[in-house]
Amino acid sequence: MLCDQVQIELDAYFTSSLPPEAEAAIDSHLASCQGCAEEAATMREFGHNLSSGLKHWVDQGVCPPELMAQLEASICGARRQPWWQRWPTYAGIAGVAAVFLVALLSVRLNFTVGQVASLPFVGSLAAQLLYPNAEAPADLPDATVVKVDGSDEQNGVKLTVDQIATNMYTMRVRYLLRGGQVNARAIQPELMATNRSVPFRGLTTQTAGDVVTVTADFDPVSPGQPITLTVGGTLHVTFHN
Amino acid sequence: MTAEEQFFALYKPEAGRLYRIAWAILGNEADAGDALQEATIRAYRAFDQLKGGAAAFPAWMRRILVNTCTQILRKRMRVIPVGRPEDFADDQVAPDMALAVDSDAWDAVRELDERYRAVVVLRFLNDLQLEDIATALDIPLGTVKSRLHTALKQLKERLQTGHTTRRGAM
Ligand SMILES: [Zn+2]
Repeated sequence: MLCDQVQIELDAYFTSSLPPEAEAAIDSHLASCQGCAEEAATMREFGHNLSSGLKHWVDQGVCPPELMAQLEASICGARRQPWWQRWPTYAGIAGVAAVFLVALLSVRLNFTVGQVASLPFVGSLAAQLLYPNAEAPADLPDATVVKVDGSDEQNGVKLTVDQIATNMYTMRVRYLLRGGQVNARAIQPELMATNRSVPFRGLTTQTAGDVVTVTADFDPVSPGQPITLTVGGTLHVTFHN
Repeated sequence: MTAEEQFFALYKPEAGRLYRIAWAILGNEADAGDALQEATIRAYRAFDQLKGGAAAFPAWMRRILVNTCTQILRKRMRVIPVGRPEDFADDQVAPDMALAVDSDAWDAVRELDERYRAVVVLRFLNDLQLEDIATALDIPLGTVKSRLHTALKQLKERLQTGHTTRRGAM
């Protein structure tokens, strides 16, 4: 075995992740080559120090307070159960759709996701099966649900507002962001109703492919007013609830 | 206590460490924040699947975070052109030289090229097996080994000569 080869295998050798014969080959090389034996001793100590140095650095970490606030806001209202467990009727429909989908897929195995999702037969349910993270319909109790179709696009990021659900206590706005770098700042919503800012309570996000679906909760707004949603400070959509 | 309160009671003492783990893997604080948010939501949604109670939380949460980060890294590495040769000129470093590795460790590691930094962090901070690093980054095991070898040589040189230049958060 050449010295170079031995040295590349040293870390695997230390962590005992080599097959027995490779380990034996390194054992015998180290026994007969002083250069590699010294290198091995140095590398073992160096790795150990590096590991404790990095762990020490991690232990001193502090999460920036504004990030912590953002994390709490994104959890606020997040539901832990997937929607099909909370919506038994959907499970039935999804099951039937799944059977169709399997049948379709078995006939044409070269479908792309987009093609399947656009098949009129299965429609959006197929999309939900293919994107299991896709957001469930707004599940506010006793809510009035309004379908919206407003969008805005800038710098390759497209914002689409598709649904507003309002009950006595909450207005839940669902919007989708497609393309671009979607980070915490870019999904942050602001809502104005008749020139008045509507208090924001929190949001949940779900990612499927390059689409981020955001469900944001606000204080309720009485019906019939023009409402403007601004996302990430740059994208605006106006709609009525 | 609501589920949310229970979650944050376990989460908050770990938040600083989690933040730095994400930072170490991804190399900058902005991406670390995004990854942490993504991982936190995932963890919260799966919170009722946590087995082993409070004691198991830190390792469980870390695992979710590391998975989230390596997913991001995989996507990112696919678009970064491979420009630098894997091989590195052989530096003759006296083996008996004292190793000044401690709080400088991160300062040296963050200076590495992304491909090297990632394997070093996953191996020496997160204690992943080399096979698991290969899977996580979707690269061959041989590449993990050669990157690690090259990275360690570079680090050893930097840490021994004290050439770590400090750079602000990117
Ligand atoms: Zn040798």
